[in-house]
Amino acid sequence: MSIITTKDLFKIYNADSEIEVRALNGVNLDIQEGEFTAIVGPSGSGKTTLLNIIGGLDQPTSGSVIINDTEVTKLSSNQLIDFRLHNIGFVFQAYNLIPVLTALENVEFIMMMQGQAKDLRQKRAIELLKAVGLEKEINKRPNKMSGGQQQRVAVARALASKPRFVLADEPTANLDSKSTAQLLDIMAALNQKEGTTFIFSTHDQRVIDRAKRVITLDDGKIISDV
Amino acid sequence: MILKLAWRNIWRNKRRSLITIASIMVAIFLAIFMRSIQLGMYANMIRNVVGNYSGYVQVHAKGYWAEQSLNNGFEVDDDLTSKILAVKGVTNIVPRLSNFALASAKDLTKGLNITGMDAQKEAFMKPIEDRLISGHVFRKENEVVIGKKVAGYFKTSLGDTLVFIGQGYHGSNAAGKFVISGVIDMKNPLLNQSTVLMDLKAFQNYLDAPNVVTNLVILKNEYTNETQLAHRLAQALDSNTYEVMDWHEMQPEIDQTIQVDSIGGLIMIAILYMIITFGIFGTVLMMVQERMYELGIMVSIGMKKLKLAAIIFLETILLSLMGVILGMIAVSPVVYYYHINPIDLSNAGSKGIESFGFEPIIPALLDPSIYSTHGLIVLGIAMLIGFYPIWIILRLNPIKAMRA
Repeated sequence: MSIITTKDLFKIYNADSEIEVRALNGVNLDIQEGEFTAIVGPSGSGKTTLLNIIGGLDQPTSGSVIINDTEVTKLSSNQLIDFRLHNIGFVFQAYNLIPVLTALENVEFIMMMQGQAKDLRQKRAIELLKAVGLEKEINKRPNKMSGGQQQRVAVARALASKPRFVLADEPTANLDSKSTAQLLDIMAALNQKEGTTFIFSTHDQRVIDRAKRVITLDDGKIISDV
Repeated sequence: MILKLAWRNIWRNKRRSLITIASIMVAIFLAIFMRSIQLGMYANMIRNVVGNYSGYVQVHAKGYWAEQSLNNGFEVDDDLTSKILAVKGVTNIVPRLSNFALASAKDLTKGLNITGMDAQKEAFMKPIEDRLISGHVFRKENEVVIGKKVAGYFKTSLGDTLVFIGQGYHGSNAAGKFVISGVIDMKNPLLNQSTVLMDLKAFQNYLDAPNVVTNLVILKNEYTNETQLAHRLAQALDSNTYEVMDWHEMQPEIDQTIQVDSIGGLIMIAILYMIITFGIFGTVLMMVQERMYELGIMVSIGMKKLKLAAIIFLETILLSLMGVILGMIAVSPVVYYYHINPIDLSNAGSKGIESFGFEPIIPALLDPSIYSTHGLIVLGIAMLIGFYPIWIILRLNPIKAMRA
């Protein structure tokens, strides 16, 4: 079942000037539920732009993004915030945790915004932190954790809201190989056991090797999809 | 969680937050201390001149205040007394007779304001004995108590004689010799250089005005507003016969002096607040700018902008509130100390202060409204500044913020 569909997605910067930049140049894409997909390509190929538009963080110049029958490109800024909160989990490249909150509070935070009761959100946050192997670190703040541990907390946080899919922008870019392997194991396990859909943008061959589907972008166009 | 986040964010940069809190604390300390001293000086002046002498409200014969002549005096009968005492807030009545006379001693002459008073009834106000510097209250018909500067002017001492010449009731001549029985400190430089007090009956006899008074000083409950009391009294009395005035009407110069003097202090406090405003704004600006990436992340993962704005607004308020509370705590013992032990400027060039009619003793005023006013001003400034991050966050584009 398709959960994300993009139709003729264009993102053009400086459209009215001579130095027009086509970050996305007519991207048509279908992502099925439960996929473990990597979007790859050289720098400037449009990977992050595509992820930002799918995640409702950015607006396309033209075209549409449909997520579970909702055309997100037509939602207002406030509707998008709400949509993201309930439908999309995000993992960013680095430093994406709230520094003044502990690991547990960071994971709880997103459920608090959803209005979940304290005992429920605490229970789920602990479960998720256990799932990413951080049961001993739940009361640590991000500055007391390694980069790999922080990214695992970020994955737990991304899953806390029970999103339809997780968007991860270069999640392993700042990690060493051991942390990368751990993170990929965790995400692959979540994908297999719980059917969570993951979409990565990455340069990292280790991630590409683990992906079930690899979409290659170049100059804003899909040049391969295997 | 919002409160927890705001509180923890404040302490992310401890040094900066502590400097901001300290600067607000110092501003509050100075503002409250300066204002307590200034208002204490005014309250002391009002208490000395109004509370302990002229009274907050007076009843006169109609037209007396415009033309302060003995011929505009009136007689106090039981009907008038009972009407006044029946008015809510009135606790007692003190009759007085005031008139001007030319006083002479040796080869010196000076125009003075003589007040005849009933020492028994005056005891309801500040007892005259308490303010005597030397001697005793008039006990005989020919005894007077004079202000300390009057004594200084005539270079007289107790037991010396003053001769008064003036106009008596209905144009008669009034002249008499009086012995100085006491010297009084009226706690006001202007009153000290013009006051002569004597027994009411003796003064009425001197002026040939038996039973005549010019002023009825109305004593009131501590918490009764004088302007409202004057209004009630005016309604109770025949407006064709009597006039009722509160001290603001009778002595507008006190109000004006206070207002003029007050402006200087308020300008100082305004400058202080302006500096504080920039201090708080600088901190808030940094708090927002250095967290743009994080704010972008929070909006990206689904945090509503209004909630995010509320966190930063709360941080601004908490930061200011801590400074305000600490400033209040720090200044309280100092204000209390100077309330109990007023600053005494009598030996340090007090002439300038006296020329404004202030006693050269400055007690700090203990008044919770000074605290609340300045606390609210700083919180008001903080709230206004707090709108800046709200504006920034409501316009925040998460992609741009994360690239910042």
